[in-house]
Amino acid sequence: MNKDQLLKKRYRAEKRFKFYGLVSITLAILFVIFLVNVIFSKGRTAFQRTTIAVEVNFNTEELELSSNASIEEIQDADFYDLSINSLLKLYKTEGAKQEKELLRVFSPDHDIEIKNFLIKNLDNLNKNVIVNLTTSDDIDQLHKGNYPRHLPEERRRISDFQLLIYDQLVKENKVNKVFNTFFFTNGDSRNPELAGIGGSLFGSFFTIIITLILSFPIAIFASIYLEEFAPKNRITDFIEININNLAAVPSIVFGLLGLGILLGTFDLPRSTPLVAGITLSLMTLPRIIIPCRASLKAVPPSIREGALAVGASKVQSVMHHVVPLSIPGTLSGTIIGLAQALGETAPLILIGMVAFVVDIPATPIDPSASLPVQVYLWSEQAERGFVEKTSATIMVLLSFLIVMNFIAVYLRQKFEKKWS
Amino acid sequence: MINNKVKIKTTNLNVYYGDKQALNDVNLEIHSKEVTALIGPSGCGKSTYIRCINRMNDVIDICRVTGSIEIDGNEINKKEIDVVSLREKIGMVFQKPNPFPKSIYDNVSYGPNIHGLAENKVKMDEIVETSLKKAALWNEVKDRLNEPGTSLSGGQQQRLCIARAISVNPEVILMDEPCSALDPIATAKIEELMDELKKTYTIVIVTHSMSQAVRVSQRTGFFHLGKLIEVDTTEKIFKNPNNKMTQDYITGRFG
Amino acid sequence: MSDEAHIVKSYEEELQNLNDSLIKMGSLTESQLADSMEAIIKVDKESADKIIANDAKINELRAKIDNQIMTVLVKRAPMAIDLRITISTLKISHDLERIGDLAKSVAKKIKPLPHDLPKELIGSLRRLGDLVQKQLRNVLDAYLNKSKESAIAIWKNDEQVDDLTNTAMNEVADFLGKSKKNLELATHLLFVTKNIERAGDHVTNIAESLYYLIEGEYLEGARPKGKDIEKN
Repeated sequence: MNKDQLLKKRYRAEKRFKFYGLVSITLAILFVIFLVNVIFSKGRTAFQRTTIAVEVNFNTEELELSSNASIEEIQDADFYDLSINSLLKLYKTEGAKQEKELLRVFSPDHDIEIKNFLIKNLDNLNKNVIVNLTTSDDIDQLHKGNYPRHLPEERRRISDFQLLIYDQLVKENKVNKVFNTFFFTNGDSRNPELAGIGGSLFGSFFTIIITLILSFPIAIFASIYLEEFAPKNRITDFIEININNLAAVPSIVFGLLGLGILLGTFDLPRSTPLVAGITLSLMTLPRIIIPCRASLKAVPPSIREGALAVGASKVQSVMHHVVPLSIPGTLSGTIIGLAQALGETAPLILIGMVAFVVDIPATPIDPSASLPVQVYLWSEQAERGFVEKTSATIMVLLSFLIVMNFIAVYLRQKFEKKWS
Repeated sequence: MINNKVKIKTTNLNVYYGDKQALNDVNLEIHSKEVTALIGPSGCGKSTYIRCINRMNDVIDICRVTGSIEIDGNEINKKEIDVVSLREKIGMVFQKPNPFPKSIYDNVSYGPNIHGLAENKVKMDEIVETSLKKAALWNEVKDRLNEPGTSLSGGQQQRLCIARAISVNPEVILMDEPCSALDPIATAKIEELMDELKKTYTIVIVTHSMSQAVRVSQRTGFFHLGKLIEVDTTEKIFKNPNNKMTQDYITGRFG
Repeated sequence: MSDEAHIVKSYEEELQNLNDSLIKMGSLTESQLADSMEAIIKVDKESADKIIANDAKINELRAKIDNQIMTVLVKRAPMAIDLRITISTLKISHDLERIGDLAKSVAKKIKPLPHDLPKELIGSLRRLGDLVQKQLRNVLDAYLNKSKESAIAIWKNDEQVDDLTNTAMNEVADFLGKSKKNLELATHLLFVTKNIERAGDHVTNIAESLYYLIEGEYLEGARPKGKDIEKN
């Protein structure tokens, strides 16, 4: 083969290599677009809620209240009859079956919604007021276009009569879509239209805070000690190898550890962010220690020598010079470690965070769910409404992760620019 | 010109890195208030030698130093010696300029600060100013003391490091190839500065540049494979060395 | 001297070229001196012209050596032995050039001479000439071999040159005393003798430079003087 041919061959090889690279990148981007598209198209509608405008007469007699009732009195009052009466006025019904069908157009907690409306607007007592009430999941999905209405009646969850009601109400402009605040403020519920991630948001928040409080200082001190002070011998080598191994241990193993030791031996309260936080910090520790050590190692030895040469002690040289220089790497490593912990499901399932918790946790020792576990829980549900909720939760979780990663990148770039 | 007062004296100095012997029975006297140059091929132990003087080798776990190192007749190669106050007395300037990633002012004030040399801000300002003046850097930086030290040019950074070293009033300044990363003009400025500094300080410089050793030093020691082969006045070493190995090294015949 | 070669081959070549030029200059000077001695004794006016013309070659060589030395100094910044080689070569080349000049001025003195020299003057002059030639040859050999001992021997031999010069001078003075008409010839011969003696001094200079090249130190003590030794 002469030189010319060799040269051509080389160029061809180069082009081929570039082509493979391009194909891989394109495939990767396509997969990401596909994934995001699926999640987004499914989850988008979960941020909206369908309501129907209902005229309610807050008659004090019917509610057995005085005309200047206090909030406590209203809380104690029974709104069920008032609510049923108001709803039944919406459409002419014949017989108990149709009445029942009409009522099932609405979410089962309609009386509580009405009560809450009154509590917010106390001056509406003894007045006729239009209240937007949440529809049932089926009507919600129908209105969002997720529900096929052309199937034969026996294969639908919505009866023909309900469809009639729905169409009439749409004609009367009584069906509205509003922003679904329930999704963010409510706890879990068996009714998809009422279910929200409020509980799991707080659960995740408490968990991450506990993980941060526990793992960050321990990781920082461990890595500073190992990197700067520990003698280089077999014991430290052994510790180093084990830290690397621990970082690679499947997270479910940490879940088992939490189950066995925290719940079993120490008898800590099950299903709580406290236990989740401790378990996750065990898991996150090595994952933070490794980048922390790397960023300490990246500080040039000349800085340490410079400090030592003017007579700084070892601790002074580390604390005054090395640690400040390693902060960007340390912080971004920590944030990425926490982001991983935030997305962790398996260990939380083992320590009982899969429980169905309706209440929003007020403290880290209240039972709660967390975002990834919520995704897991809802993805198991049959109702159509939970499908969109699942995707929407994934969207929330992903946006948290993306924000955290951006913060990590930002911190790293900002501080590195300043120091280089 | 030649001063006969011995400032640093090492006797039978041996240094081991693990199993490897880096210095072999080095007996060397460094005279007060003059520049002593240490030359020799890479890995000959000259840097190891000067790092013994301010006990910088302590940082390396596997490093073992035996023999005697006396400064003004006081043994420093023993456990009871506090390296922090030793290093206050013996400053060091490194091969690559290594200013702290802080302001110029903070770079110079760091040493006096940790040693508590200034009672107040006024005194500290004074120390910073005199140190920078002694390092011939004051005029170039007096208007931007709050800018980071890393924003200076290579030569200015190295002079900043010299200012940092002299800020704690040392008696000896060790320089480990201080000009190897600098251009000729910056090198000339450092050499000029050394001429000035040697009136106050005892300077030991490790250098790979023979011509620099000739220019700046009064005495020169030649190291090879961990041994001190020859030490004499610089003039003697570069005009007519006694040892053939020295001659072969400085004339470029080595190996 | 160092038996090891420089790591940089071209440096080694430059020093070798310098050495070669000096040797060439040395042998040229040697033959110029021999020719001029031959010519003065035979009063060969034709050779005299040739010798005068040849001196230009020596000057050229000296200029070349100067140039080579500057190159080495600029390019290599020589140290220790190399520095001494360069500096000594510079000095030796200047001494050689001076010897060449002296040979030339001896040749110039031939022109005004009558056809024959008095027999009684030829002996001492020839002996002096032969001795200086031998000294020059020896010093060039010593340079080639870098022999410290030869350098010292040559340096010490300068006594003999001085002694022979004195003898030759005395003879010329006697010759002058015999008759007033000998004045012109005697003056010329005095100059010639003095020139040869000075050539001998330059040879001694070369021996000193050579000693410095080898030892890095100057030869100790004052230069031996024939008369002083006589007095003692």
